[in-house]
Amino acid sequence: MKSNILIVDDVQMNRELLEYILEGEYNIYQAEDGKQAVEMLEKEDVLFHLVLLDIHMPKMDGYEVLQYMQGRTKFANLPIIIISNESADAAVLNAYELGATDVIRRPFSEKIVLNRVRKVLELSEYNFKDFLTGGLNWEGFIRQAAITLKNRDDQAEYAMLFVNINNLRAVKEIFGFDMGENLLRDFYTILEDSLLKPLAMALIEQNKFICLIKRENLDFDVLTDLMKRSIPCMGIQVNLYGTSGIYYIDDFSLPIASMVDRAKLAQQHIVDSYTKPYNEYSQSLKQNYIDQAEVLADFKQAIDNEEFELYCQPLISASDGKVVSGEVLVRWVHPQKGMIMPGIFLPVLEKNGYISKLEAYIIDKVYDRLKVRHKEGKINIPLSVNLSWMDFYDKDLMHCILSHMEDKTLPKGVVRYEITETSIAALEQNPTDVLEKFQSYGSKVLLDDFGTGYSSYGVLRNYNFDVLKMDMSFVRQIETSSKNRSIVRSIIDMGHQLGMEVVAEGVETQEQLQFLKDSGCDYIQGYIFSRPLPEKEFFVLIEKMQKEGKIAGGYN
Amino acid sequence: MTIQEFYTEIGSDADNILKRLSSEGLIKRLVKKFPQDKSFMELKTGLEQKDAERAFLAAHTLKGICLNMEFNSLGKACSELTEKLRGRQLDGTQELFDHAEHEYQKILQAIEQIDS
Repeated sequence: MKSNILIVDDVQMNRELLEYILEGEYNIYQAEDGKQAVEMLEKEDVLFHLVLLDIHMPKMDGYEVLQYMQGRTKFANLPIIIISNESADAAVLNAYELGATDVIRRPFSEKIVLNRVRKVLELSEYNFKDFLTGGLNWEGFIRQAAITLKNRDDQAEYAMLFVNINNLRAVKEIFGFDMGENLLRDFYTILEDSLLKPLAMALIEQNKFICLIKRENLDFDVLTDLMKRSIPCMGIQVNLYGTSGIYYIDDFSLPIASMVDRAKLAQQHIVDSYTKPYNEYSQSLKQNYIDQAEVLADFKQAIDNEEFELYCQPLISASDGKVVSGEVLVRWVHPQKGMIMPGIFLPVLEKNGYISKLEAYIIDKVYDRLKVRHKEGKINIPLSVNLSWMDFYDKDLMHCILSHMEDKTLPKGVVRYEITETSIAALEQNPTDVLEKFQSYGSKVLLDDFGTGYSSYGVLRNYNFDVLKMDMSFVRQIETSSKNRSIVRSIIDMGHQLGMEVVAEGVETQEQLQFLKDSGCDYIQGYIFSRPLPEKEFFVLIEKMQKEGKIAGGYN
Repeated sequence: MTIQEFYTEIGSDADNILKRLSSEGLIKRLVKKFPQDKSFMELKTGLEQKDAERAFLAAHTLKGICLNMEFNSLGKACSELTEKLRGRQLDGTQELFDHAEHEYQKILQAIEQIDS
């Protein structure tokens, strides 16, 4: 794209000379005096990249233009080259002090002008450039998107996209930092050349792309395809998984940054990135939006007011369909914002070290419920609670877990713990063999999301788990990929050989269920049987199943 | 008259401008536009009306054109005028202006003889 240069000079001959020198490389616009120049800049019909400014002009002279520009933050990054007849240093210095980027004195040579213009443009574009992609950075995007929307086609509708590359960190871990960067660069090009036809786009915050498009170019198949993109890299295919938030721009008076925020908000509310890796912004999202600061501010009160509610999803035996256990999940029912999904608040709590407080709350609640039911003579089944890697650094939480285990009111092992590979580093630094201790109290330890990390096998070699939970991504591709089916069978076999029981997560279809059953998978978790239920509903279900004789391994 | 002859005629050296601006066509085009430029008339009017500000601006502008176009004699006259007028003083400008006008007319006459 050619840069746009505004030449400001009251002498037609002077303008013509500069135009002649520069028109081969740049789009040239002309103003006859300072006043006209300022009007053209303010009007923003054109995004100007550079101003060549004569000093002595009628109406508004060059110094006045410089002064005016200094007071306008939106022109803070617009370079201005002064063209001067003055041989006195004072006049030149004055121009620099008023914010001129460079001064060219008459008589000038064609080559010098061209080279200095090139250099100034190159330097000033650094402010707007992303060096990884070669495209725009945040500032550049804001500038370009603003001018695009200002000169928008009234017949067209526009959308802002916010794309998060979810697995970039893992990719960098596996293939190295440079390869991760190469993939981002490739993805940028793919997005740029895609049918979405971006009008402005940028890579921000290491792994996020923002993109302004015309709504008519938003094809959901294209978008879905982009969000699961396989990119060749060092002779292999690497998948980048993305999720995308969409904001249909209905209020053009919003700052560009707010439009991006809305798209981002939609992206953060994606529930199931596998089936629908995009989400559209709606007003209700905004009402329910809780930002990081709000999560932290409201957290303590939320614990005190018991705003966190327990949900349970049953696990059933693959062979006979009986309910065998449940996984405990949490939802935050905020008094103003309503239901907040764990995907929103858990990462914030984890990042800020509050997660273990929530974990302790959940564990206390679970024991509490089970004890009440136990006392009333009602049936209980083992429930598993998810632990974060941070929990292993929290002595209070470990104490909380172990003291519950030492309390003999409930049968042994009625509460289990699920951990993911992300906890392994914490466990390695923790010499007290926490997992074995849990197991010595009869609490099973489950390895969650198996197969998605990058050290899955090492983890299995070094630690003993009772149950292996195969990640839902394997289950999801049972129907479509024969390779995947082989992998699923191998995981199940390997789990059994290592003395573990195997759970398949995210089972949705009869075909998946049948295949898992045939492959010897022990347990099934997923919508095919039940979604996560509020605890009351869950216990109602358990009792109903009990009446029908469909509970295995329950405790009274 | 060629461009080279034109510059010799007005007491300059065409080589200097050709070193800075590569195209003879461009130089010719610009030189031929010079008679339409209003700066000299502005200077004249400014001085006639004792408007030092207006005269200064015009002299300054004309100086810039001369610098770029290698109209050295006129440029020198304009430069002196500019310095005189910088303090917005009109004393002693008439003589300088007469000299500038002489150089200006010389350039205009030479321009008429440039081959089209």
